[in-house]
This record gives sequence, structure tokens and C-alpha cells, in this order.
Amino acid sequence: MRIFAAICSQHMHLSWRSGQTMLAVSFLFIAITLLPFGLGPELNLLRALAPGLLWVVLAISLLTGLERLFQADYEDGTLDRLLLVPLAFEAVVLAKLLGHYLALVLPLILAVPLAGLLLNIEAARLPVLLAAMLCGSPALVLLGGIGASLAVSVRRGGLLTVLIAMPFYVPVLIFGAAAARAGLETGVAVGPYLGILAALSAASLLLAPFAIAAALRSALR
Amino acid sequence: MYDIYIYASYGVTAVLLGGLIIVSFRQLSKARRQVFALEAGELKKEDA
Amino acid sequence: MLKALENISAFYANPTRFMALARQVHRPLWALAIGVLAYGLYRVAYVPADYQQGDSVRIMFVHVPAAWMSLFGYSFIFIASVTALIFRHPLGHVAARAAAPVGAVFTLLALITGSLWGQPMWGTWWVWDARLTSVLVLFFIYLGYIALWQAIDEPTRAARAASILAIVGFINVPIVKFSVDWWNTLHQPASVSRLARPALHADFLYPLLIMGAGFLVLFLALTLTRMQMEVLRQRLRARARKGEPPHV
Repeated sequence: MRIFAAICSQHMHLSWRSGQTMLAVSFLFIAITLLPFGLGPELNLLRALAPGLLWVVLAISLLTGLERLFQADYEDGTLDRLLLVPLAFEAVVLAKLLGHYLALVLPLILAVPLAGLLLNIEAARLPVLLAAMLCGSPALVLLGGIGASLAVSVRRGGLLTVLIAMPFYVPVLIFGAAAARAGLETGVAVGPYLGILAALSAASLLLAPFAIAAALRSALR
Repeated sequence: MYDIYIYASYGVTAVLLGGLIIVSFRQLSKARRQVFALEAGELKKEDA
Repeated sequence: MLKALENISAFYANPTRFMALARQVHRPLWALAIGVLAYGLYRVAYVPADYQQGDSVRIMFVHVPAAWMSLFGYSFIFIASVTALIFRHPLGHVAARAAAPVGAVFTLLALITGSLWGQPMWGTWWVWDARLTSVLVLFFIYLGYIALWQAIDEPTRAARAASILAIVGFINVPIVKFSVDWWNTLHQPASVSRLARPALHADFLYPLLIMGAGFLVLFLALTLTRMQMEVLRQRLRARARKGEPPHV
């Protein structure tokens, strides 16, 4: 258990120090800022499109962060050493992903309401948006992790990671955006959508660590 | 009136499937030639 | 029965024996493919025009079988990958890699013919209806799978990674289908009707099934051709890695 926490916090530390978090959050705001230039400043339009846009931008920000997740450790040999740790490799993977989640994904999600304000979402509606992203983000991280682990050791494998992860993201984006949109309207029940998102995250939690561990083991052999 | 779409559909089908068939057979014959050449080369080396 | 299948597959696990079998089956299989397709096209030519859609319903006879094959292709890849990864049959990877471009082409075909079928009806080249969107996502799944094979240099590693992706991706397919179906019902624009299937009575059903069978045999024939190619490529790579055999 202590090993788990150690790996987790080590990854968090590395993420913060290398500025990954700042980079990802900056990316989020850059994208949100560019949108009105493309779409026009009309507030009603932005508000209507905001739920979907925020989810897409979140997904892309996550993917850019994930690409580095295993690559750096693969290159400097840390991954080999992690294999030898007296903890099931799937648990090691989970520890790394948890560290990544706490260090990078949570700040990103916490930044989303602010981005939502920029897109003219009413402040009262923001908690639902936040809840939806909290329910769906574990799925995004875990499924993106599958892409990142399969593409590890491929030179410039970032695009490959995105291509692999993209079909997995479709269900999460569909229900995530639906939840966010339901949250914007009054009288629409958001609960079921959050439930589905949570179910997707739970299912990913059960399956992804095994796939990621298998993919990493294969790369290290 | 709709004929052009029908022709286009069957035309695309022919092009895509035909292309795939041609490419696959060419890849197969190329592989066969390469393996044959490799094995013939090795036989020659054994004789020499 | 199961034991017999096991013995057969173990027998043909040896690539040389497989190649011998493949050589024998190859021509008859292609002959069958061409035959069934020719008969199918003949039947399609004499299908009466649909009262609703006119002649353009004929596009259905390539679009629907192509869509069937895109799904069949990925199922084939899934089964081949499971065979390779869990039952450790060496030809599993070969079969999966061989079938991938075939499935991808059928998927692309389904997309293009779907678009061509829809244009005269809806006035646009593309609609985000449930079926076309699902097929589009499936196309990206194929692309990712093929890209993974190409991206990893070492063959055994590539095979392992590809089979992991195939298995996990296959689980994803029904989830995507369900999500996209649901998403489409939510956003159904009033003016666009879904790709209406004409009443499938015998006049339409039998030619459709024959074309489906033709596409299936074509898929198998193409995959067999490509499997032979992959086995030979494997042999070439093995020789290249071993270098020249030592001489006395």
C-alpha cells in the first residue's frame, strides 16, 4: 500500500515540476480563447455550444498530457524498474494514473468552470458541468492511457495515441456533453447521465489497467 | 435521374475493391519473388 | 468435434503446412467469390425499382453488404487476435494483420456508398445519422489498428500490441453503437429521415443476401491472399534477422 502511494506521489511531483499541469491548463484557455475568433462573439451561440466544446477541448488537453505519461519513464528506464516493484504491475499502473489524475486532470477540470464563464455559461449551472466532468474524466484518463501505453516507444507517437483513443472517447463525449447540456436547462434530470458517465468510468477502471499493463509489459520485453 | 449516383456507387465499389485485389496480389507475388530469390541465393552460396 | 478442430488448427499452425493448404484452396475460393458476385449482380440488375426511392435503391445492394463486411471484418480480427494471444496459435496474428486492410476498405466503401445513397434523398453529402456515424467511428478504429501495426518495428511486439488493441477495441464497438444510436435519437432533425430501408420482401431480400454472401466470400478470398503474403514476409524478416547461414 505504501508503495502504491509512493509511486503515485512521485508521479504527481514530477508532473508539477515539469510544468505539465501549467501547460495543459494553458492549452485549455488558449483553445477557449480562440473559439470566439472562429465562431463570433455572440454570447448566445457560445453558450449553446459551450458544453460540447468544453468536453472536446478537455479531451484533447488530456490526450496531449497522456502522451508524455509513459514515454518519459520508458525512455529513462523507470518503467523497467517499476516492473520489479513488489506490487502487481496493474496496481503500479493504477498508481501512476492516479498520480497523473491528481496532478494534471483535476486542475484541468477545476479550470473548466472558469472557461465556462468565458463562454457565457451562468454561474449557477457550473456545478453540474463540474460534476459531469468529474464523473467522466476517469474514463478519459484510463482509456487514453490505453492509447498511450500501446504507442509507447513509437517515435512521435502522440498522433497514434490520439487515433487509438478517439473511438474510445466517443461514448464518454456523447454522454458527457449531454449531461452538461441537460445541466444548462432547467427541469431536465441530470442524474441518469451522471450515472452513465460513472458507469463508463467504472468499467474503464476494471478493464484498462489490465490492457495498459499488458501493453507496457509487451513494450519492455 | 438518380442514375449518376448508382453508377458512381458501383464505380467506387469496383475501383476500391479492384484496387485492393490488385494491390494484394501484387504484394503476394512480390513476396514470393523475394523469398524465391533469397532461397535461390542461399542454394548458390552452398554450392560455391 | 472440438478435439477435431483443435487437432486441425494445431496441424495448420505450422506455416509451411498452412501455405500448402492455402495454395490448394486459393483458386477455388476466388472462383467461388467471382461466381457468387456475378450472380448477385445479375440478380440486382433485375430487381424492380422501389416505389419510394426509384432506382437508387440499387445502391443498397452494395452499401448494406459493405457495412456487414466492415462489422464482420472487425469480428474476424477480434477472433484472430484472441486465438493468437490466448490460445497462442501463431497464425492468429497473420490472419488479423491480413484482414485489417480488407475490413477497412469495406468500411470506406460503406461510407462512400452511404453518402451517395443519401445525397439524392436528403440533398446533402453527409448526415450524422446513427448508422453512418457508427461506421465512421469504426473506420477510425480500423485506421488506428493498421497504424499500430505499421508504427512498431519489431514484429512480435507489434503483434502483441495489435492484438491487445483489437480485443479492447472490440469491447468498445457495442458501446459506441449504443451511444451513437442514443445520441442520434436525441438530435434527430425534423427534416431528415433516416436511411429508409425499403420493405424487405423476397424481391429485395434475396439479391441482398446473395450480394452479402458474395462480399463475404470475397473478404475470405482477399484475406487468404494476404495471409499468404504475410507468412512470406514473416519468412523474409526472419532470414534478414538471422543473417547469412554459416558455411562450412
